[in-house]
Amino acid sequence: MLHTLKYTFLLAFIAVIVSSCQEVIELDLPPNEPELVIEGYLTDLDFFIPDQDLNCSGIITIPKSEIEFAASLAAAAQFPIDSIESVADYFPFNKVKLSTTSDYFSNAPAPAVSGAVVKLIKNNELVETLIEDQSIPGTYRFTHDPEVGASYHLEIDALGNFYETEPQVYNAVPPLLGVNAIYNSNFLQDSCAYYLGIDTYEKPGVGDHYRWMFYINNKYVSNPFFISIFDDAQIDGLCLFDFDVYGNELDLGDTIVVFQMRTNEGYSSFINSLRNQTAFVGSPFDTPPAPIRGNLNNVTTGEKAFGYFVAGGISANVGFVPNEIPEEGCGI
Amino acid sequence: MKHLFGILLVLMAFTTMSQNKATISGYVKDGDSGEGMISATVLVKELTQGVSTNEYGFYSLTLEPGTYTIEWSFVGFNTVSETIDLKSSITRSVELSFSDQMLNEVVITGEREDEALTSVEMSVEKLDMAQVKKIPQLLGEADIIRSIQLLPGVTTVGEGATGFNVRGGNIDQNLILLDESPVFSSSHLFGFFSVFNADAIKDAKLYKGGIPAKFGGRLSSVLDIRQKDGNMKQLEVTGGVGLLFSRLTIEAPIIKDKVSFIVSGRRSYFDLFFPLAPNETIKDSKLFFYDLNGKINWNINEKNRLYLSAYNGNDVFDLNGLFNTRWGNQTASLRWNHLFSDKLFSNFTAVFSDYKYNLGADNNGFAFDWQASIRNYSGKADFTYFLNPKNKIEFGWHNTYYQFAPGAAEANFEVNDQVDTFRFAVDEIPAFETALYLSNEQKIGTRLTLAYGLRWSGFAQIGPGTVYEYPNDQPVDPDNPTKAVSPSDSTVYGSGDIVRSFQGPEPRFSANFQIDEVSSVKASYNRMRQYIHLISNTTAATPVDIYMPSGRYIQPALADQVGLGYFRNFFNNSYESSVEVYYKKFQNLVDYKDEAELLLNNTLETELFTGNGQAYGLEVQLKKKRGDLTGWVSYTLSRVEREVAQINGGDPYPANWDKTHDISLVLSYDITKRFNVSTNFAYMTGRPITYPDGRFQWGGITAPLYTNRNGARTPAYHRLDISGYWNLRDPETHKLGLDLAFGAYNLYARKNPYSIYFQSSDANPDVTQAYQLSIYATVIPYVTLNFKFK
Repeated sequence: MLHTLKYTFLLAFIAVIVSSCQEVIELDLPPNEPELVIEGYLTDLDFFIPDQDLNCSGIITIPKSEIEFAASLAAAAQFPIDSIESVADYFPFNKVKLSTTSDYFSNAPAPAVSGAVVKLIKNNELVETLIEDQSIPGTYRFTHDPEVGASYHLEIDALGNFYETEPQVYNAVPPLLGVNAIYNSNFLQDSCAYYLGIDTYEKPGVGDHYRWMFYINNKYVSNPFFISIFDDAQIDGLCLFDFDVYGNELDLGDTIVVFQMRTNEGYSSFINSLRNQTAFVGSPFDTPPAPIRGNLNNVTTGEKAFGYFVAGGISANVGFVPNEIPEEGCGI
Repeated sequence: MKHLFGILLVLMAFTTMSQNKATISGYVKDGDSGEGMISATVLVKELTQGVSTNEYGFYSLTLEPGTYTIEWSFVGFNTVSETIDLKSSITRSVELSFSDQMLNEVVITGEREDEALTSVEMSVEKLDMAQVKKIPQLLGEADIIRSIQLLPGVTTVGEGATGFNVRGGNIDQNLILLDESPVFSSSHLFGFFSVFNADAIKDAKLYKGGIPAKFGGRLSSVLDIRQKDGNMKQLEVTGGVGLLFSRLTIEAPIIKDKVSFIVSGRRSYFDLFFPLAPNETIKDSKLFFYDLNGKINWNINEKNRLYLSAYNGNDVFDLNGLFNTRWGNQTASLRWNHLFSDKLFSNFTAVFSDYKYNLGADNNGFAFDWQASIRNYSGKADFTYFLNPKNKIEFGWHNTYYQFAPGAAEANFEVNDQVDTFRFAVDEIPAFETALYLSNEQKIGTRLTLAYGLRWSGFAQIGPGTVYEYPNDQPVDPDNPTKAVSPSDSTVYGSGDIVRSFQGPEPRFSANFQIDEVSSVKASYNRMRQYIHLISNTTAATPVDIYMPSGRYIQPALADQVGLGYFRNFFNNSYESSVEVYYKKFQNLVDYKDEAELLLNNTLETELFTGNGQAYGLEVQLKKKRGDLTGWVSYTLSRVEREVAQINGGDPYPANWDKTHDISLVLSYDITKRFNVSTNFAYMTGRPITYPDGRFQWGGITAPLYTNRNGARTPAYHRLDISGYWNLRDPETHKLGLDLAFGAYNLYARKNPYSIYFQSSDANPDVTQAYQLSIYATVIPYVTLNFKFK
């Protein structure tokens, strides 16, 4: 968070004080040697089953009136569940996507890897061999219902090599109790507007990591600048209300679907790196270019392959931005 | 090694046995202002031997009794010559006047204009402030740091990068002293301007190698800047009004020839134009920097002088509450010069220095503030013993107490009239540094001069504080360096407890062999130890990066440098040329993991790597010092490499500031006595950069693949600047002198690449492109009206 603030500030500073110039240039880069890339999510798809140990009677960090809290729960209850599952179908939950790296200026979708053998291993025992979706080349579907506390990894035969992912312990995720549109001015934006606020809670015990993904009006927000990850170092065991995990203005009438994923430190590090190397580039104060390390290893060559396979619970909810601004103005 | 001090003492004792002798000592001052003159020459004609004045203008010569012709001289000033019948020790202070006012019968002796040949100092650049003011500068602001960057061996990561890099060193490896107070950030606005107001500066000297034993604590260079003392003779007001800055300096005697003061201020006013901006946020924003310098100089008597000097400078940026930042140095020093005898000069200094920086926001119920600082208190005792014309002994003791505050944050959320506050702070770290030094500058015969010495430094990180323990005492897993290692335990240290201490010798050596009257060869070696480290993981360091001391997991950094040079003057010393080669080996340099989390991290050691490095190069310079046309051309061929086991597969990689070729041309031409034109041209190899080897797609994002750190380079950098300097009213003949400085920076609007970066298109993530960022993409003209009143 502080990192983001620092870099955003520095960018703003530079933009204000100098007449800098950015332009597209032509460069010759060496050809790429293709290597396997994995993008996989093993989850249970039970987005709306509340966790049984829900208890928000402890410390409440951001007080909120009971009336407002009840209203956000009501909004969640009105959400049409069927449509979110169709959204989830678009996103590769419970699937594995295999592709390869390519030349930097190839300017085409990543080549899909078909015909691979993808095995799901649970606690060192084979659970299933994934079936490739014939309609989407390079996509392999899980059918397994994951077990909380179990360790999962994948073994893959592809491109003439044998690959393995590092093991992932499957953790349950706290429910997303509400997705709210708050008319306010957040600290990164000056003008008053609607901002996202989620209601959830964090399980006691430091070491949890969370990622949130957003669909706005059924469109996935893929801009890496809005990648949202958080660890619980500062919020361990707390209930969170109107917690802005998006940081950008919402438009009047928007429908927002939020996925909340409980992950681990390795995934957080991978996502953080992915964001830094794609969003925070170009200013003198960037983090220097660095490899984006995932959890896929090419056992045959002993080298790292690319991408990440993650296992963990995902909860979701939806919110709606009113069609007009409140008469009361900012600060509700 | 521990007996080196003893050996040095014996050597000096051996060389210093003397019988009945007499000493002539005193101060050499600027006759116009009463300022002590640094490095003025005092020459005994009959012996063709002499000494230079020290940083306070003091000299001392011990000779056999006899009659001597003594000459006091300084480049650009009339030489004073006097025949003295030296029977017993005497005091003789002289005032030199500008050579423009010289009488016809007085001839300037050129002998000391061969300073570069005769001095044992090597790899030293003395900045002439008059020359600095003529060099075309960004927005016309005479700038010491940007002028330094035109010298051989000095580079920068790029325009907009704070600080400067000397012979392969990072920016934190420069010891920058302002009246003996350390300055931690030398730049305003991220490197666009230096913090030193040229109107308040008397002298600046950059040591790139052969660093004397009296300096220590940094690996690569010393920039020793002396503020003016204040005019002892008359009121003098100087200033300038520019498009974006104004400055004013007032100096005057409080008691003529006894007590004087100088106050100097400078402020930028970029933000005056913000209300014209269409954007509401920018309209109410603040962006400025300022510098305030002050000094009182009390000439108590011939044996005692007191100097109290202070500096306060800040950068302030507030984007209408959305972001704000402020960073700045505060320094103060109290110095007491005392003559224990006419041969033993002493200077006792008490120093306070504080560098504070913060980031924050305060907007609509959300307030956030992160701040960090490094504060130190120093006490120094320095002695110079002018034994005889052949030996000058320096010794002293320096002590510094540091208080590192690596970061504290506070956030306030206001909801429904209720404020919730979160606080988090990294433990403050106290530390103590001490150093003893002893050195001698010895002339052997008429051709050979040696300077040898030893500095012995020690450092301790002390409590109170908590130090974390790690499995196998390793905060970084050697088998998986990217993996986070968690502390297994912690140790709490009480106030004053020593967490970890270090000490070691730092030998220094320089030699000058004068081949003939116009040429000499020089050699030097120095070992430097650095106990404080700048922790930065951005391409260019920022003013808000943190400093950390050596301690349990961070070792002191070491640098050994050797240099060899050939110096030759031409045409009665009008031209100076030099060729120097150097090799520098670094040990224990701090580097960091990819994506390291450096802010508010109590276990920072888990993010850091340690490595080594080397730098080597060739520096060639030709300087024209006299005549209507003056200036220099310099060329540097160099290489700077880092080697860290966990980075780049353990292979060496070039540092961000490695510039293979660096050419500077600085010319100044006096068309008439009142009109001058100047130009400078700079060319350097592009800086190292990492290009992608390919790309992959993940989660709707197209990401670059990087493997070879700094394996490519940006295109070359080059730039031409011009300036004119028109003296409208001569301050020597008018009460109010006026001159107009005007010019253009980046005359041919070169879009020099600061960086090249890689990003996918917003519209289509399948399309990836390379972008070039140029900080100054256009010509930047300027005009400044300067005045001088006295």
